[in-house]
Amino acid sequence: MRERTGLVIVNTGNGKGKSTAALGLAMRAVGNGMKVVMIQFIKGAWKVGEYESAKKLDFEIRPMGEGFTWVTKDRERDTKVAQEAWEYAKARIASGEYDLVILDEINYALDYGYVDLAEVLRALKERPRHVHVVLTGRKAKPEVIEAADLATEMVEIKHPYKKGIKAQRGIEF
Amino acid sequence: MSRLEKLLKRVREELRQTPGVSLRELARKFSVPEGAILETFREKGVSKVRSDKKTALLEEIRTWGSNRLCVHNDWAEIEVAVDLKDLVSGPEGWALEMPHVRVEIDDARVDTIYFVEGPPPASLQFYNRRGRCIFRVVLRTDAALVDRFRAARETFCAS
Repeated sequence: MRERTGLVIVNTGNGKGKSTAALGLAMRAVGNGMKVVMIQFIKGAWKVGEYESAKKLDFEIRPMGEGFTWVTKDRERDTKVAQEAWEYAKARIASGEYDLVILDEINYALDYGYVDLAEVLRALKERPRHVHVVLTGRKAKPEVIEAADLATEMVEIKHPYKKGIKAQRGIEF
Repeated sequence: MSRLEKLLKRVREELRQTPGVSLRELARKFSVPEGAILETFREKGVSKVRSDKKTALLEEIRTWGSNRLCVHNDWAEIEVAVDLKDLVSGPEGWALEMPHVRVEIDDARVDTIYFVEGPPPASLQFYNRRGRCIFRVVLRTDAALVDRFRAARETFCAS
């Protein structure tokens, strides 16, 4: 049997669709019997359709700072919660139990210094061979792109709001 | 004295006893719109943007670069660093894509905008018609940007 080679995939750029593309990949992976987890590195809480879909498809989406909403000026606390999310992600990557691990908006956390870049690169390098990892978010660090097997930049060409079309349930959230 | 006035009197007492309490906490505790509290206890450093200057203000803040944007609504309570130059204009107002949320700043959503400068950081706060703060642009603390914030306040709030 051919051995599977896990990929490091980066979705970056200012255009929309980085997390959406990762969710599409999750749907495909689940359909192929793979185990998937998505860890979100964004501060706050929000209600979006993908949480319901994830329940139905039986894959886990874990928001950062689960269990409470927080808008704070306390950088120490922000870093602590991001660190907890990273520890959770790191353990799942290293366990080999998951086929696909999505680090949603981790580029933001790296850019803001909430998560240590060297540690992320080490976890990617040392992961079990079969594990695919997707990193999303604007401003991907050059080192992250260097570590990737596939890097895609989303670029905005047109935006519906310019035509007066507002955010719609099921499309934007 | 109206019910709102009575509640605001209690809010004033609470503020006296707990100076650091947030507007949001006060609004929740006393069921009073945040906007009403801000209006009533307007101090030096809180200025209301003229309604005819909103569009010009949004043009201005596009030049303020990377700052934090907080969203508070029924769907999301989220805070992200954004580049304000990514604000796009449409026929009804302005929009900004954030991870998982699109912020739409138009007359249907935003009734009043305030410049708020208390203890740093300064912020620009957007309130809906119910007096609820739905977006906040929280400024970087660099002196040049704070100067621009103050200059914009003079331009867009002066009667």
